[in-house]
Amino acid sequence: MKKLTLTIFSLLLIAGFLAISTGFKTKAIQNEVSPEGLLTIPDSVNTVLQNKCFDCHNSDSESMKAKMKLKLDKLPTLSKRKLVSKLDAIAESVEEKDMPPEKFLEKYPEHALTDAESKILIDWANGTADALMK
Amino acid sequence: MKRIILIIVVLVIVIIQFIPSGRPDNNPVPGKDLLEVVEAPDEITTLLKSACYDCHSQQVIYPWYSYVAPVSFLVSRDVRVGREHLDFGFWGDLSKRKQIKALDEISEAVEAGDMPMKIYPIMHPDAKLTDAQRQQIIDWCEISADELFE
Repeated sequence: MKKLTLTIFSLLLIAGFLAISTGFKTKAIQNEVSPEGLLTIPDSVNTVLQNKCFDCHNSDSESMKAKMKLKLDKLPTLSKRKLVSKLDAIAESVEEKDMPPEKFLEKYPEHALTDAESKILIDWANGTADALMK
Repeated sequence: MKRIILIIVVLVIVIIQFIPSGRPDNNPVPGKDLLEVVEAPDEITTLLKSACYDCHSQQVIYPWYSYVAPVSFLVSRDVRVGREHLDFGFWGDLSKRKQIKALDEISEAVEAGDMPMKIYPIMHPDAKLTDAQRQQIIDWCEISADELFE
């Protein structure tokens, strides 16, 4: 009986760790709820942001420059106007292929955006920014 | 030996004067410039003209040394890249959304001390912004962006 409890407990513990290590980061952007519900990030967009952008563009990033330009986890806390600015910048930098930076991709080619992923980001950023402008 | 080096240096300097620097021309279009489109107090106009307009506009004032290589290469590149990022000379062509973005980015760059570029005030002391002047620009950007957004 004791053994069973111990097994269940250990299994729960392992599951917990797994959930934290895989799920925690995935939810990082969507976790912060925008106060006025200004920003919705569909899963398809969230996946791209998380996999291709979040490593540099987060509050704890080692890259000062990336952090200063855009903190994805803080997006939902921005004012409506600043949100428009950031979304416009996201759409523009992806469209012009300024992001991810070429030098970064030389080292981490797996972070390159596919055409489909770029389109997902651009359409979402443009669409949301236009909707906020209305 | 010293003489040879000196001759080579002089020769190189003379030769590079013949390499075109690709200095961007000013092509102002009436009615398109930021200061014609947006209302700005005189103080802001002065600050923008002295701290930003020599790269980010169609009213670039080229000093004499910007005609001498290799400085000419640097100046030409700065103006080219500066205009690529933001050209006040064609402010009127930007959509409302792009204008808001630009104002927010100006505010961020000025606040962070990224702009004007550190090298610029060395030869342009008027472009050395005090904290108060930086704040003036930031406040003006905030107000102007809010007005556009409303």
